[in-house]
Amino acid sequence: MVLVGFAFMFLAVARNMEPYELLPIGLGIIVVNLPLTGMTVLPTEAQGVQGAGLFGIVFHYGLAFWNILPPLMFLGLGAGTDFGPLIANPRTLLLGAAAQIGIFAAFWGALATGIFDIREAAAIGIIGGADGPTTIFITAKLAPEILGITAVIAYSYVATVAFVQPPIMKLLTTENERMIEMKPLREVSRREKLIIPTVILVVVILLVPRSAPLISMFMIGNLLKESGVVPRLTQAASDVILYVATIFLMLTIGGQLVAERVFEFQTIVILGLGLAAFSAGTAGGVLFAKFMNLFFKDKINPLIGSAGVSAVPMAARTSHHLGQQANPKNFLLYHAMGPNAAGVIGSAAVAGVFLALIQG
Amino acid sequence: MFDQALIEEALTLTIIGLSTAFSLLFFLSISIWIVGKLFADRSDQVPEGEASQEERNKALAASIAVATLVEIHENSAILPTPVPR
Repeated sequence: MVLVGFAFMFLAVARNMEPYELLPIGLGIIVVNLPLTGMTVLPTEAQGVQGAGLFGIVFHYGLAFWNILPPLMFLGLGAGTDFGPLIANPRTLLLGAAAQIGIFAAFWGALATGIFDIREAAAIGIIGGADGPTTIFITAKLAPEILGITAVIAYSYVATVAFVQPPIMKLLTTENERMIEMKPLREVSRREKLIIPTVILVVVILLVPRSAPLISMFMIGNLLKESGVVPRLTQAASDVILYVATIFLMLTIGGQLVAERVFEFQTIVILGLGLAAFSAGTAGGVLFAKFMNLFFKDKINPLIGSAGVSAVPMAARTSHHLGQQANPKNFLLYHAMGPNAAGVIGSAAVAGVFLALIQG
Repeated sequence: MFDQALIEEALTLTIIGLSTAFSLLFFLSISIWIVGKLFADRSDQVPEGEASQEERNKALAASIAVATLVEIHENSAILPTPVPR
């Protein structure tokens, strides 16, 4: 496992592959797999935190018991998100819903293997949302025993968006569809940018209360930014809090990756299911964009549908690159940011449904 | 492979999960559209039938290009005609 840790470090440093995640995960793997550290020993009722290891304490309070690290990351992500494209073209919200199909494809796939119970299947399915913090949030609540694996696989697929998505997008679209030029989006007023996150916050929490920790922090972060009156809080959320949470979250996830968990048959199965989830989500978004084009005069370039899987902003960039390959006059990046943001809301909503119905 | 109770639970989760995602985001898209109609900056919006700023710029660019070509053409009359080789 120490070698696996070094491999993660190599990918992060030499290949610049998701360095913010893979480097601390790799370091965490190395530390916990050295002998006699006791770093992952969890706090117990009898001994409290006295006999526990550092990563065990962070895992228990940051994830399994209080689960505060993913919502803190959402606060920072919200402070860095621009809802402008989504507000300017609200139709693209539906692409974020369609891409959630991947979650359920992997959920059923996991159940079909007979290896996983319904809690684990839900945690594996959420990988299809391509949203690391949501995957971690759900897995820590429903199936903490597979937390390290699902988190690493989720972030690995997010890192490989540029390789996984294009073949599926090309397969499901014609050259003419990829060439569709979308009208430049209108300017969005400050009032809209203040009202809409508030509306989303209230509506989502009323409809799916269990998604509140994620959605509320995301919208609070965004409203701090859009208010324009608390630049230091915005900077703290999008810089300091986000990166402090990232360090502890990723080190702790690395700490979950011990040999007896990683070198198991079920890890390979989760890897396959994660790929299936991600592919199905991509296909769902692209096909739904084509379906929407049957009803709208202003056509949507189906390539932006794939951005509904979240993976902010890599999925949007992939849509843009493919669009430019087909038609150099195509500028899809800003358009694709709409489904990208919608995907975050969609996967958090599905996560809330899972929590409400499975955890009770 | 599946027992009946598991299938029922999984089906319930799938139906509720997907319908929640679609209905929620559909409702939000309608809400955003309404908020846009109410609170978008009116100064940016062009009444139907009138040219947009982009269209006016294109028309202006085209007229400048035509005027330049006419000017070049008129001046070329006093310049020696290039001899084709």
